[in-house]
Amino acid sequence: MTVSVYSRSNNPLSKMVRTCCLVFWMVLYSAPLWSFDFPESLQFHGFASQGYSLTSENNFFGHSQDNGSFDYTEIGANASWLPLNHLQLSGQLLFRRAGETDPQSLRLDYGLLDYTMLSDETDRWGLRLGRIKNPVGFYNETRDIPFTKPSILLPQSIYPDYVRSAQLSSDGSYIYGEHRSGYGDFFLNGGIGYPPAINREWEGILFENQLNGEISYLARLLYEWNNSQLRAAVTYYKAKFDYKSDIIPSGSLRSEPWIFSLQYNAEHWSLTTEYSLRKVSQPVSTMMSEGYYIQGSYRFSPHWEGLLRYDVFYLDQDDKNGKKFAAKDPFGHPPYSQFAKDWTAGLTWKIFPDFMLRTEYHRIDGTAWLFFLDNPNPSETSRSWQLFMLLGAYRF
Amino acid sequence: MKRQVLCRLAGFILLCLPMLAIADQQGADSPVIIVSPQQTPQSVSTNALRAIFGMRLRNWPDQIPVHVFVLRDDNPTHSVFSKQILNIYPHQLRLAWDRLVFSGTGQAPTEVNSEEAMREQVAKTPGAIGYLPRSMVNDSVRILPVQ
Repeated sequence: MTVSVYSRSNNPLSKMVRTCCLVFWMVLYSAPLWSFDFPESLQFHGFASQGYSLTSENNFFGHSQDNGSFDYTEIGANASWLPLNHLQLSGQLLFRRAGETDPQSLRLDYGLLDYTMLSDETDRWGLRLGRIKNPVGFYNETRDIPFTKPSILLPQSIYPDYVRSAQLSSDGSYIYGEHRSGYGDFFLNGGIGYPPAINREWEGILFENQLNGEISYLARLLYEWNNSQLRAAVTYYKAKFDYKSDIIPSGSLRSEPWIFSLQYNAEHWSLTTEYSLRKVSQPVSTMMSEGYYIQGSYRFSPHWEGLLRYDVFYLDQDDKNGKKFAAKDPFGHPPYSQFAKDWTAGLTWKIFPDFMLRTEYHRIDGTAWLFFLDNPNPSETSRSWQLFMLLGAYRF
Repeated sequence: MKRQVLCRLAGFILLCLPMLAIADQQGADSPVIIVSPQQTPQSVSTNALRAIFGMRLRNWPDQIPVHVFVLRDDNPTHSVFSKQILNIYPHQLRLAWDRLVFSGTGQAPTEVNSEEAMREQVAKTPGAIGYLPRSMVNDSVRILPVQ
């Protein structure tokens, strides 16, 4: 099985978005050359993180057995500017390295124009155009920034890294609405667009092929009560890809999950749970993937935070132990490649407001979200494995 | 023996009284919302205040852009302001700003290093809003009552 050049979506909208964003970045970064001062509303922010992973069996983010792997690096830089009071332009460039699964290139993470049509004390409505991070569940929009997530690795049942680009962002448009009331705050997002460039992690699933994002839809309703003491969300999306393959019948692949999210935040602790039911359709089969996690975190002090989580994922709800799948699979995938149950314990040390160290230990039963590209031979994988991770992160 | 314990207890309470007085003084010096003197609004609702410091309401009712100033996350005044006036924990507020900044859907407030810098910036920036301990407010800024 060879590694092909990962395909990029060639739809006209994606091309337009790429061109617009390139121009935007050139203008922004050439700003120091101009004769006038920076506009007051121009802001620059960014982050950088370096991870280390060590596994007892199987590989995760590079060759992580034996001495471990440092193949997990993320660097992002963003800029935002309000040329008009109701108009915000923003863009973020991201460099990402994650074992064999990421093309290790610099890419446009998001690049968008945000126009607020109505804004007052209780309501805000607007429109976003460009490449927009998909608001899926609680964490997807900022899933790469260590400071906005609870652990190094997000719960893979809801935020699978092995199909990361399928739910990462859209080239298209979103409408958004906010309503603030005595009963709480409501946030609505509805979007339509193309999933942008598909990263290499997909090749492990559909082999060497051409995969192009087709028009997809997403909606999320988020409710926050008492200043985010209680947060609840429902997300639905329908992502579609067309692919050509020499091995399996060409056609389209659809992923349609419902995701339910609930979080309670007290001063020193938070309790979070999310549940996902995902319909995955290919020309040859349709199945329901199911996943959920429950997570507790405790802030011992402003500098120290502990985490405990149990995360469960079944690729096929009707074949939880994977026996039916393994009996007819021509590629020799073991039954345990159809599920993953992950116990995680983690610790975060916020040394300075802008710098943190984080560590976590995973005890995992099953390989459902193990990366194919890091583990090309399914018969060499182990059902029961442990993963230790360490990460340093900085932001500005 | 019993008397000795009682005496010690009384002594302890006496010693503590000045501390209570100091604590009371701190109560009187709780943070207030300040704006630049040219600002037209005469008061602000809790809802609007939460939206403004949550970086989700960008204009005053007269359409002048809001410019939000905050102290550092670990500043005691910021902590009291956050918990008592906004009714949100400082780490939750930071998380809300980070979610906006790193998804391109909003901006972060301007951070100042001291209460003096806060007063100076709010005084000279059109549309500015911030907060200060009441004792540090002078004529250069105006207190905005919260309804």
